Amino acid sequence: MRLLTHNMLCNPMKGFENAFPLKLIPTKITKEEVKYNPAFIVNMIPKLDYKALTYAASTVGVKDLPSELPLQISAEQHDVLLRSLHHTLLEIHVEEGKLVCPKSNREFPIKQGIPNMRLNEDEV
Amino acid sequence: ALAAVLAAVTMCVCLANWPAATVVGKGRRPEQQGVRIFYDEFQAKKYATSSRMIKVQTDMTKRAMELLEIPLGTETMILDVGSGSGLSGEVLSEKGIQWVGIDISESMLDQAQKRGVKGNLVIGDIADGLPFRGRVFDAAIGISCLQWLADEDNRDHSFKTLIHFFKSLRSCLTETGRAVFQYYPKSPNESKMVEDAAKKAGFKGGTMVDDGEVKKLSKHYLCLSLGTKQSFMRESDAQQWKEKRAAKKERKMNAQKDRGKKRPRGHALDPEKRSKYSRRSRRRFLT
Repeated sequence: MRLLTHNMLCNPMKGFENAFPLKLIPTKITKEEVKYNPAFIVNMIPKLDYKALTYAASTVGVKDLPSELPLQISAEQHDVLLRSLHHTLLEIHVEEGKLVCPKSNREFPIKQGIPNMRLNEDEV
Repeated sequence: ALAAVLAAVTMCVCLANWPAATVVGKGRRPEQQGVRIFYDEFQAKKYATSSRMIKVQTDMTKRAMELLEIPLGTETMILDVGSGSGLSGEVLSEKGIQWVGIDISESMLDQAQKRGVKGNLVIGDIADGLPFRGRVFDAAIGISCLQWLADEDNRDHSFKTLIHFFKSLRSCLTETGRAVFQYYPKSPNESKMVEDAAKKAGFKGGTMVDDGEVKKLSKHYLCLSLGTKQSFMRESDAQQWKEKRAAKKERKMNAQKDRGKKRPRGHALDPEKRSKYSRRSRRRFLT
């Protein structure tokens, strides 16, 4: 599970749609190179929840993200920033671990890199 | 006699290997049995490795992307609903598009990983609602997936489930987001139920049917958008469009004021403005 995915996941249970971000507790992390595409990162930045991203990055050991993003981002000026965002969002995989809802403490396991957001019969 | 013995042995072996959970009744489509029962490990592998299935799914994905009618560049973020074994996602990855795939079957997603898909996979039941926060996806596609949500035996429940799903889809799409779902409706009633559910959730759109003359070959694509044509224009184009509309309105208002007065005939006299289809040149052409 990439941090890009974590930045979008929330608890699907009724009444908990605002339970975001999910607490990330990784137990196994791998890194895989992905081709750098600045256009994607620039398009994604307005949609990201940056606080959630810095939180998730800290749980996987990435510390070089700035605390705030500049208002205007351009591919030429902020190359270093975009590359570090690319690395954080796309190149780090949480293979095993769990996601915990901050409101209900319901755990969603991550196995083989795929988070399981399925609800039980009684929670639907 | 030897041939009969061989045939009997082969049949026994085949029956022994046929997993009990996937016995398909004669002529029944998979969605008539429930997705959880149908896509176990055996069926998932069969699905992902059949070359006919791969071609059909790939073609339908390409058609769905075409019907989205928005530019799908490498900067877009797409949601693949019911991504299964990743056959549709691979078409997206080939174009360098980032996508998130959600599916209920762990076996199907296992197949996707074995194929090495580049997308971001999530296990989830779309009937519970999509587990994504608001306004993150530029578009969504779903190939051969929606029919699982429509249960003929319990139409009220299906309708509610569909509305719940479409509402969650609407919230996680951007304002200019669009969605196209290829699926197999069991009847025209089901097709209408799905359309009505989408409309109740706030979508606009309808169903496009390809090859509708032959029932077996026909493919249904539910095309959804969240606004008028203006909503998926870029801001600069939208501004221009607004200005044009305002200018047209002003001309109309001015024309109303001048009603009764003779219309100025500047065009035919001004050589620059005269087109080759103006009345004078037309007359010459006809004679």
